[in-house]
Amino acid sequence: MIRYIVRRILYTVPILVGVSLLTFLLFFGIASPDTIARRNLNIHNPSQAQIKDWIQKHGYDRPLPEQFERHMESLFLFQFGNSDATKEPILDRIKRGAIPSAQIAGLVILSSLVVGLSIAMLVAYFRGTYVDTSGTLICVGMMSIVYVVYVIGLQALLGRLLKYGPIAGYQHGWDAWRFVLLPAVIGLAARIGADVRLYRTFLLEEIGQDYVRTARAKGVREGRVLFGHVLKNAMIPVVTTTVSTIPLLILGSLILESFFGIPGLGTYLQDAILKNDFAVVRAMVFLGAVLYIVGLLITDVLYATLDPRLRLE
Amino acid sequence: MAMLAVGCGNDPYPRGEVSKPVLLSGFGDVTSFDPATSFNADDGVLMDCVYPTFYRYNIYKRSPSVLELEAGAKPPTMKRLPDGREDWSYTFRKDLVFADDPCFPGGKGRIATAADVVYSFKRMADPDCACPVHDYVADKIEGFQQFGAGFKTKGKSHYADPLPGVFADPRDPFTLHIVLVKHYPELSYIMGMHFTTPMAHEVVERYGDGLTLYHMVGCGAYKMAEHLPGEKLVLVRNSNAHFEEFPQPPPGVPADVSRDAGRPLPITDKVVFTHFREALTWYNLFQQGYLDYISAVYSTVQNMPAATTLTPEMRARGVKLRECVMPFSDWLAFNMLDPVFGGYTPQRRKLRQAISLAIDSDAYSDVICQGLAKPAQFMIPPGIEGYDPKYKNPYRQYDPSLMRAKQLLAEAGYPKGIDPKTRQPLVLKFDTFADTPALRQMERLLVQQIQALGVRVEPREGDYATYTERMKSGNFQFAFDNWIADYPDAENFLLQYVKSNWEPGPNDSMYENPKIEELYKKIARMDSGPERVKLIREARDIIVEDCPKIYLAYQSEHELIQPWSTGQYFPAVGNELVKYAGVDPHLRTELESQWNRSNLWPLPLFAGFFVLGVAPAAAAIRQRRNRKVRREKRT
Repeated sequence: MIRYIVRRILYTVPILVGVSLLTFLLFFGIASPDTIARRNLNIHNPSQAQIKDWIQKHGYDRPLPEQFERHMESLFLFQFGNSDATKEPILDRIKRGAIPSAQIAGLVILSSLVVGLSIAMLVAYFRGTYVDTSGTLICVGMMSIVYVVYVIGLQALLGRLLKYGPIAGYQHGWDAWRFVLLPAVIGLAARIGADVRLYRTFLLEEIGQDYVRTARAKGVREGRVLFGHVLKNAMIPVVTTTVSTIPLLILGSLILESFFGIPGLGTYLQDAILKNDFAVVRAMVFLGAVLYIVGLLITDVLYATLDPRLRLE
Repeated sequence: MAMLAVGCGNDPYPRGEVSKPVLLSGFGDVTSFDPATSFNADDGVLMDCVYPTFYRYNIYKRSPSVLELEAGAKPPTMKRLPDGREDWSYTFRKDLVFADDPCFPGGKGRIATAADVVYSFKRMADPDCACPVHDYVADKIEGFQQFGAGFKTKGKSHYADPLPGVFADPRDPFTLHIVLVKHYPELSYIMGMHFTTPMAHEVVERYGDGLTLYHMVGCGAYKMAEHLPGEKLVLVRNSNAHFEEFPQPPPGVPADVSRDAGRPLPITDKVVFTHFREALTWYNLFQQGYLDYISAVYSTVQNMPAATTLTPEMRARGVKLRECVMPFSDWLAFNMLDPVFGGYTPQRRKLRQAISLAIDSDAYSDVICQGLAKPAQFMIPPGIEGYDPKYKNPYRQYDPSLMRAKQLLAEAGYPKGIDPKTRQPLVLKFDTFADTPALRQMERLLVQQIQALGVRVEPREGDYATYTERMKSGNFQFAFDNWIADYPDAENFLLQYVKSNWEPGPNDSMYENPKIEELYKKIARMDSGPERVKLIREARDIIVEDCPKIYLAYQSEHELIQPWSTGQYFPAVGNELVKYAGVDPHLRTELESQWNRSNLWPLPLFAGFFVLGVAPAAAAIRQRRNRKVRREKRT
């Protein structure tokens, strides 16, 4: 397995270079250095001399291969430099923003595992009854609603009308839980429909296996069959699908963060794209790629750990 | 959910903060707090609390805005030199002291002198600072351009060299001399902008780039205690600040505004600004009482349902609504170099005038701006010298029948909007940066109105960068644009018709008229007065006939203010308002607790529904299993 992990880590190098190259080309394809300078210079009508100065100062006047080489070197050393727009050290901001993003993502994932699996078990237990049918129907309905509707609607309902939590803001330290609970509940509501459907499929697939029939034939109680055997085996696909979504959740809760005024990484990336802040965009894309690769690697390792039939080679 | 409902509360601040005499406000995206470079309204609101200038805008005078002394000790005097140059003397207060900061010896702030203002002017000349108002003063202050060029060869050591046109009086360290090579009345406004604040060189030398976001060290009423970008910014009273008191109000000012008149400023010792992105979030927090005031402009109003009128609930709560027309104009610009719409022949003029007559400014103000704007007749908004409330632009009088517009269009050579060359409707390409719902709605409305003439309008949407790129390169026919004045003077609006300001400058239409050039030069060098007003109106009439732009609206700002807030009076210009703002923390705590009681009743209801929903299924399963067992027993 160690050899497999080392090989996978080595594979990440060309992937990261490829992703960075694509971002680099896309960014320069969409925005010329002139446009980047105009967006980041804090002036309504910058003169050509000011634009030229800015481009020179930020190194965007160098040949593209040289820029890319410097860009890759700094990214692999995790020296992200300063934001083009605000001169703020990017790494400091990433470190600060990663905490609230990870808190929300962690809560959403954990609660979706617990709540999603519980509901899926319930639906699977009552399979064939109206609970199963109406559960499936509700799940499909929930999956059909656009994410932003959950955010705006539930923020208004739970935050503004029922006043169950702060509708915006963030405090560091122990107080942070007050601010991430409501977004996490909304994040959970937005994905629970899809999760329950998925977990139900995994559970029903296991329920149809021979070992379940054998257990029942031996007189094992239904609860024991479900929780002791079916759940254990269904956890393999459940865990692997969940782990692989962690990086996406950390970087991707930008709508939630935006509406709840949470200073996480999602909003940081969103702002950088809007401001043509290439220094931040390249760092965030690189970080996203690293997290995604690490997430997939953990998934593979977990898969092999949970299912003894698999061997990683 | 239960945890949320029971344990959380919805207070977004650290526990107990709302019960303290702390002003709670929000802030938008900030880009830089460096007084030499920052030119963003959101930055200005925060910076102007820290960096005082010679002049400030009187809090009570809203239309027109009036400058008064802030860091200045007495009004400036002018001595004409034998060669015609002007030597202006600005005497600063002697009690201006920088806030304590580690950059000063022993961490104690020192006295600010005229040398610190000279240093600010040197920073304005430094190309590295890219000062936004550099071009305004460059050809007026003696030796300013040459001094700026010196940085190329000498680098930062050039700061030690004298700037010929700006220096401290050798006999009085608190008097600043500015030598002008030509008369420049707008210098007063520049002396009221943060670019000319006394700036300690120790701060720049110590913090460098950090000055952009993390350090604000001035001699104003507040100093920055903490800034977490994208999160929050805290200002606290600067104990070294000079004494100033809340001015006495003129008649007619609301009682809540002047409640603290006569008290020393700042009224509130601490201000917490929290960063929020979504207008809806601002509005919701205000509704819950967690923001002491919020403002709405037309780009955000669609997300703030009751920002333009008070709902009965808000009225019952004692919320106040104040409106102020800003020096901010919206318009549509024709590219005067465009082969179809540009030029100065009678036909081209008529074509532009016809399109101008097809646009209904009332609809724009009411539908798009939702009442947060006043229909415009010309570029110069209310409160600015030269604005005439009775003036009616002959090409902005909308008539739903479009009779005159159609007639002008036919006279321009496009009867019923048909291009005789192609026998197809004339095509007009319309550039916008429709990146908000309000702007997209505006685009649809304008397209619909112009198309009523029979021409075809092709919108070219893009993000702001693409739109700017097209505008700057002159690659457009007709585009939406706007302008917020740098200072409340007609010159700052008329500069948009001067050839030296063609794109990438503010003259987006690339308009050119020798008569206007001549008038502009006179207006720019003339002091306020009836003669100047006459010239401004003469320029207006010429421009209106040429019709390089279609004036849409003057934007206004609406402020929603909580019942416990005082001193909230928003002038059209000027940012240093926070120091006048006060709160009644007891009333705030009391009302907030009334407004924010959690509604717990849905929780047992939800649990009940769940149990009731699942119980029959559980019974059915039990029944099914019992049947199975009975069958097995029988067999």
